[in-house]
This record gives sequence, C-alpha cells and structure tokens, in this order.
Amino acid sequence: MSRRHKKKKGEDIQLNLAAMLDMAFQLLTFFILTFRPSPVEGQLAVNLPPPVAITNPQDKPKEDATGDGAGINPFETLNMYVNANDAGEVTEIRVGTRTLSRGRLDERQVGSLSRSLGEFFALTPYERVQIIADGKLHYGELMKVIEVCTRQKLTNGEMLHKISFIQQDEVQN
Amino acid sequence: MSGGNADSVEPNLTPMLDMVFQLVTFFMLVINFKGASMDLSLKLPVLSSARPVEWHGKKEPLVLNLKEDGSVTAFGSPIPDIEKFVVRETRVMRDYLKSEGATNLDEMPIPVIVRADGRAPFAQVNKVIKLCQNNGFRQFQLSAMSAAEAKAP
Repeated sequence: MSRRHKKKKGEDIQLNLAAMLDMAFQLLTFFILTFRPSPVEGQLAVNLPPPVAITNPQDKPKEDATGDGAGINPFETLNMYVNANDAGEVTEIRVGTRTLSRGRLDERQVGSLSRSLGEFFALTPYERVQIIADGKLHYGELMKVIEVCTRQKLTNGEMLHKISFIQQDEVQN
Repeated sequence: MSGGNADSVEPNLTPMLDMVFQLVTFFMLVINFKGASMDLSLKLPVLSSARPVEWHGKKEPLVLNLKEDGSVTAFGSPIPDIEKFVVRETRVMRDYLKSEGATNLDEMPIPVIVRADGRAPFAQVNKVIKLCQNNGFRQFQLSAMSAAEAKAP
C-alpha cells in the first residue's frame, strides 16, 4: 500500500514566511543602526619631501639658481614665512624681506598673495615652496596658503606640487 | 454567527518581506566600512580646490585623524604614542609590499591621508607629518571639505 499522501485538490502548500521576515527585520535593524552617511570629503594631494636647509634665494647669484640637478637644490626652493597671532590666524606672509600679505587671510588677501607668488614663479625657476610657519597657526589657515601654492605654475608649465613645512621655532633653534 | 473554528486568517507576508529585503539590499550597498577609519567629529578646513580621490585599485592609504587638541586617532581608536604607531604601521606595510615583490621601499608608495581639524595648531600637524616623512612617506593627501559640501545642510 502506498504511503504517499495524495495532494487533495484545492490544498496548497504555504511556506511559513514569519521566520524569514524576523531575520530580515533583524538584518534591517542592524544596517539602520550602523548606517553613518559619511560626508563627501575632498583631498589636496601634495608631495611633501623632507625640509631643506634654508637659504635666501635673493641673496644668491642667478647662475646658482638652476643647480647641477643632483639631489634637492635649496636655491630652487622658495621659502615663505607665515606668521600667526595667538588665535591661530595669519598675521603676515613674507618671502625674505618682502611682505606678500598682511592681516587676516580673507578672499582679497588670498587673491593678492596668489598674484605676488605668481610674480616670483615667473621670474625664478623655483621647484618647490617651503612654508616656514608659526607653530600656533591653525591648520585651516595653513591649508589656505597651501591651496594658493598649489595653484602656481612652474616655469616648465607644470603645477607646483612639492611643498614642505618647517616650524619657525625649529629654524630659530 | 461565527464561521468554523478551523478557518484561520493569516496576513499575506510576501509583499512585506519583499520590501524588507529591498531595504536590506539598499543598506548593504551603501554601508561604508572605510568610514570607520574616519573621525566624523572633526571640523575639516574648507577649500574650494579640494576634490574627492578615488582609491579603487590603489594601495590602501594610512588615515590619521588629528583633533583640535592635537591628539591622534586611527581606525576609531586614540593613539597615545603616534611615533610607535607610525613605525609599526610602516613595518607592516613594508613587509606586505616586499611580499608583493616591491624592491625600492626607501620611499613608501602608500599615501597618508591627514584629516586634521581646522583649529588644530600647525605644530601638532607638523609633528605628525614629520614622523611620516622620517618613515619614508612622501605622498600626502590633506583632507578638506569642498566649499559646496560645507554649505550643504
């Protein structure tokens, strides 16, 4: 005798979905609780070689400006001093004895700094900029200065991407 | 009069299950594991030229978060001794790169993402960058918010 049940007409087999739904809700709860939409961040890509010895390029004769190409030539480096007040804001930016910007670094000052730096890069084949910044300077302010530097075009037509930092205290010590 | 006792009323769960699975799929797709290495409490500086960088197919960068007080966090944990941390990470990365056949590792081909708070003093940021430079890192990505993103609510 066959033990196989014969399906009665009109009787349909139904899956118990409640268990699957429970599991799906648990997964959903996990993903909702761990969901943290991260903001779209930008990055400023810079090549930061180690600092070089500080020399004043304006004091050097022009024939030294190009160097022999072996290693890093300090005469191809533009040393820019960035001074700050106790609140971490920029008070002065200078190259050698020439002041490029004085006071808070607002949009107008940024434009003026960019033009002044452009003049330096048009006259001398600098390859990189060394920012000698006050230790108190806020990072946000420094980024404004870096942004201006990364917009500068070198004499070979490439954009400036070699930037290094030194803290003023380290130079004085 | 009431109907027979054997009749049970069951809601049709299929559409609900469909919807829940769609939601689960959505959250699975948008989950961001890299976000775990970022400290979202930082107020990054705002720059107009900051652009998002794609890392697909490139080496995983080293992400360092620098708070306003100069303390460093990485992968969601505070780093009490940043020098030890950078040395250890560099050693691990060098071993990994050697196993992949890299030879000249004086300059690390891996970038460092510096996510520093806009109010962090330069002295602290400089200390971290110098440490990385001393360990062979040359490529740096300085994180900032784009002006449009910063204006968004």
